[in-house]
Amino acid sequence: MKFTISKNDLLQALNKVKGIAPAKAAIPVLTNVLLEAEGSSLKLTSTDLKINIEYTIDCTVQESGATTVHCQRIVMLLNELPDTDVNLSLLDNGILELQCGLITTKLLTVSADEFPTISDMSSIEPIVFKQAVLKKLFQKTSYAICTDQSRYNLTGLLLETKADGMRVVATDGRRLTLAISDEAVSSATEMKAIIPAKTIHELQTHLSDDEEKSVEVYFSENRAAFVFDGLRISCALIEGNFPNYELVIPKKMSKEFILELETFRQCIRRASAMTNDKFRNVKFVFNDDNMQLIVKTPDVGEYEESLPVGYQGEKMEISFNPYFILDVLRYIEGDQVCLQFKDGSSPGMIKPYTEAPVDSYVNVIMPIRS
Amino acid sequence: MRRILHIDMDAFFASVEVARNPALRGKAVIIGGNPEDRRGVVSSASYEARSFGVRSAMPIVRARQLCPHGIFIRGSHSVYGEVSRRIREILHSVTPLVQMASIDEAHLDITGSVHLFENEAALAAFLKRKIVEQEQITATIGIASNKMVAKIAANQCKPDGFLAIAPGQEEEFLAALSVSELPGVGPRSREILEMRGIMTVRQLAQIPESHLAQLMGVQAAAGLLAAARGIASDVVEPVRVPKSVSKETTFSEDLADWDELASVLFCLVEHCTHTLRSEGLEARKVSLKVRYSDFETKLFGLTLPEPTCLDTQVVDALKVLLPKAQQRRTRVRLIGVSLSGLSKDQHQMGLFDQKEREKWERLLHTVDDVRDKMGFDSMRLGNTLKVRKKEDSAQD
Repeated sequence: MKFTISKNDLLQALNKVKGIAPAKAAIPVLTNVLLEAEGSSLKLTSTDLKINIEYTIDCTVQESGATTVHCQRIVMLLNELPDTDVNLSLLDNGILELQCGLITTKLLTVSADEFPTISDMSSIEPIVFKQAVLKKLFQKTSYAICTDQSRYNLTGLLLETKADGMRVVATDGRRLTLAISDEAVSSATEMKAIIPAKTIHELQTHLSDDEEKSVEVYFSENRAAFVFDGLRISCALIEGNFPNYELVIPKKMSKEFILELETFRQCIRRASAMTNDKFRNVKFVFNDDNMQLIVKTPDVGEYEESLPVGYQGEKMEISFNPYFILDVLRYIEGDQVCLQFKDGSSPGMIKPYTEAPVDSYVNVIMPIRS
Repeated sequence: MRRILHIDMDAFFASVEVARNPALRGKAVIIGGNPEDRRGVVSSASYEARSFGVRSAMPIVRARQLCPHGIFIRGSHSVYGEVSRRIREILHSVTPLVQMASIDEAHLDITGSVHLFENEAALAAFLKRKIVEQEQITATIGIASNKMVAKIAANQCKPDGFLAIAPGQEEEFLAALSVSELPGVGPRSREILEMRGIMTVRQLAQIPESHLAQLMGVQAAAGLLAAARGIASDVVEPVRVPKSVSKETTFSEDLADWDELASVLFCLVEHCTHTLRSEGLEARKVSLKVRYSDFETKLFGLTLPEPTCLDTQVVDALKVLLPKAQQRRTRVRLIGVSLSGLSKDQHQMGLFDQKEREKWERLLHTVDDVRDKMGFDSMRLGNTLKVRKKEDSAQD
């Protein structure tokens, strides 16, 4: 194997794949990046066995071939090299020689044969999504992904196509978020898959905000691959059933409040400042025109604030974890937010509000019974 | 400067029994253990019994020798708990800052509420009168600028007494008392101090800290000197969440049968979760404690995904932990369960399993109600029934 490439191009390519290569691994070759030179391009691959990232760039190949080299080591080295072309050649004794001007470096390698094979899914018909739309859907929902590995089926995002478009759902069993977009996908292809959280985070960093760019997604029985901008990110899907989320999204809510987003956010921030990790609890009291927020945290102190909301009706009390609310408010667009409740022991709902409540972004939060 | 009131019910369990059965009034009433049994200790004795030398924590056998004509009662803790709750409500009528120190003791921060009465004495008299009127029980009250001095003051004027220590007088009040009145001075420390001629708090307060540290250790010395000078916490914490709820039992003979051990363990779980529910608590961590016959003690712990007060979820967690304990092929001397990571009155409801969970909660609350009326053993988990007798004797 022998090829020439600009140092900056190689470094940039490595930076795209290095996030996945673990620093330490039971199988040592996983800490390496696979370099494959063929035709006029170089393909870099890293994997932690759950997620694979492949990135292909152009380069001048003198001799095709493949090897693996320690990912962090070569990134560290390239960071310190001058901005010029580098020549890489794999010597017969398995040493990768990296030449850059007057600098010669010899890196130990592990044979490419030892690198895990990545399943090829190119025979599957891809679904084409808009990158920017998909990225936004992921951003709005990934906060609610469950981090508790004992509830394995909730540790990813559910992607599903329905009549109203593409649906993305996340839940950790205490709150649920659903974002819908009819612009994400052109063809009305049926699909339903749970993508692991780590893949979602990786996708969020690489997907572009450019409205024009698209991403091809390949779904097989148990794997998914996202192909865009020279990258190919693939992963095993989460097996198991995602709970029936439609059942827990309340249909009829008797009480609705429209609030200025920024005002409400500041309220909740103040309230959360008065809670601690043992006592995360803000009580909302609706009574006599007002919404009152009350926090009483042992060992910390008390907080009270009233917002006029024009509430008429019976007094109602409901408590929530303020951080669950703050998480939602971070992703709500527009100036106003719509809160909906039924009673003190039923879930509360938060949506953006423009002319009317926006049903394409729904957040359900279970209350705290105190 | 805050004003802290310490209230202590006089011979609480015995007084409740007398109030329930006026025929006992004026008699030597002794609560604790099983009257037929030769084991167990005195948990409370009326002042009439105390005059014969009967004390709390004394073996029943000894109490019988001292006071053969005494009336021995096993006692019913659910009744005492109920009376304690009613007394707590009386205390709350004076201030919301009430910290129950135990079933029959409480600290009240009366700094803000003393103005509602003529003076501190009037406030104390009001509380004592209310409790006598409602429960026919007398109480002793001490008032001082911190919790420790208030409690010591109450200890000096039992029963049915009242003593207030004016601000600034704490050190002087303590000076004349025996060192054993201070918290942290048990029989052993008292012996160490008295051997060196330190009999009173005044003498203790005059000892240089470095000297005392050599006798008692650095931490204990600093604590003792602060106590001797009347310095202590004046913070009354109304909702005190306990650190853990636990129960363990030592077998009269070491056991090797893990099925039997598991059944005993689940019995203990029932008691712990009952306590959790009655206090409005939920636990996040479950620990299994095992002491093997060679006295090696091991703890096995598990953190639950969600806090719980349900027997079934704790039992499920223990079923994961038991095989770990079983890896040592040794007989077992003691087994116990501890529930920690407690949160009070704040249950985060779930989206998916809420109905199922509520069903269990309703069921167990009903079971708790039945137990309060008919006794704890009136309802048990199925797989704990077979150990009922053994476990009960181990409980005492």
